[in-house]
Amino acid sequence: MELEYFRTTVLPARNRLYRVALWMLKDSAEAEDALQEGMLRLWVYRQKLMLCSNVEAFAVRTVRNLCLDRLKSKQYKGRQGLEGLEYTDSGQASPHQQAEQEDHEAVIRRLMLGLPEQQQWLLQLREVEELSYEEIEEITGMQINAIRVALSRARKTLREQFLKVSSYEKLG
Amino acid sequence: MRNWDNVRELLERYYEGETTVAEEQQLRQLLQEPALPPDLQAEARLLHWPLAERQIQSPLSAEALMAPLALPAAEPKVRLLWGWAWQVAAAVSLLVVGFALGRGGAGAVPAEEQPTATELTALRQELSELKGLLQAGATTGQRLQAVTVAATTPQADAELLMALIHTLHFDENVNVRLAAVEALMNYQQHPQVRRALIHSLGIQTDPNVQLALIHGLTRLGEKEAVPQLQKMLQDEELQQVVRQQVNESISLLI
Repeated sequence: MELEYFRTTVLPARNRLYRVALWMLKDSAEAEDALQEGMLRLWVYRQKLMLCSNVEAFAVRTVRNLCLDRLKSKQYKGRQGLEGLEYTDSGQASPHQQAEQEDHEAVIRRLMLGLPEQQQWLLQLREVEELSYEEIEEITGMQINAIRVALSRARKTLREQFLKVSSYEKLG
Repeated sequence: MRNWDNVRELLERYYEGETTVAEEQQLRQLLQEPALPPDLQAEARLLHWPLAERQIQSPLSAEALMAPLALPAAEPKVRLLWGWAWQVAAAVSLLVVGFALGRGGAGAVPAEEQPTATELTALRQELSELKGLLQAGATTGQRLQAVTVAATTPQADAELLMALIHTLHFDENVNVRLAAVEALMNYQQHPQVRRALIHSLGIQTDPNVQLALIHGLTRLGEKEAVPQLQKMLQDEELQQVVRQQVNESISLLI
């Protein structure tokens, strides 16, 4: 009964949970571990889940918290310093030079990294995961109005910077 | 003929955060039409990026994720206060039951010596509490003791192993991480434990823990550890004693 409930309500969210973990940890092996750990944690909470109004939102929050634990750990921080290099500018090429070699999506992803973390997180939840404002409220604990404002700001900033890069690099 | 002004209006509401998910889906669809006015072409490219992100899928299948859950797991139990008396009692009772279960070798316990249902329930509760100790914000002493007890638990399930693995990777205390290496070595028959021991080589920075992992993996003859060991050699800050052991282990494992 519980197994069946878990199979039909939590498991279908696995791709979403993996994307959230991957977005936060920037490492596929770490994201896999976090997903597996998240599933086990949700399994432990399976009776609570049955009382949850939105199981997916609860699951996303659980995985996010596990990822935050990993990011906070001293060991991970030390390690990120080495592996995180691929996500930061190498210093050998200017952002514009790098942008020239990238497609539009890569440019947008790079520009997103320049946004405040909260705005990046909201873009991930809304644009990629297509979650409603109510679901985002449940996951982040932010109020709906604050979510709208921050999301609007993120979209506008991203647009402004993308148009600028597009015109400079003749991508447009 | 499409009324592009409606699309522009929708786009404006999108930037103000006033559109619904359904409207945003519709907007993305409209912006993919071939006969797009020039002023909307950059917008189309900009709004297209999440589509590729959504294609990313979990490399772990539903079956792979469900497999550990099908193992016998303890019922969740929340305990708010962790007293030393309880921990000592739990440790002793676990050891006693473990001894009873383990006597005569796994699977060879005579019927009259098998634990009763009450004993099994108590054991499961204690397992659950052990996991809680490893996961919640317990003190270093409590975590160390929990790991030590977990190392001798006769019925370690997937959740307890995950808690031990998490402790090995991320506990802030070196002694607790060292105890976790020792505890996990007792569960070497589980592929996930072997993978975790290898994976941890890339996480640990303390030479004591590094050496414990290298010794353990060498003892297991774990050839899969070789690429990770070779990666360690590239770290200029790796201590000489560890470097020496890494070289020795690589030559033994290859």
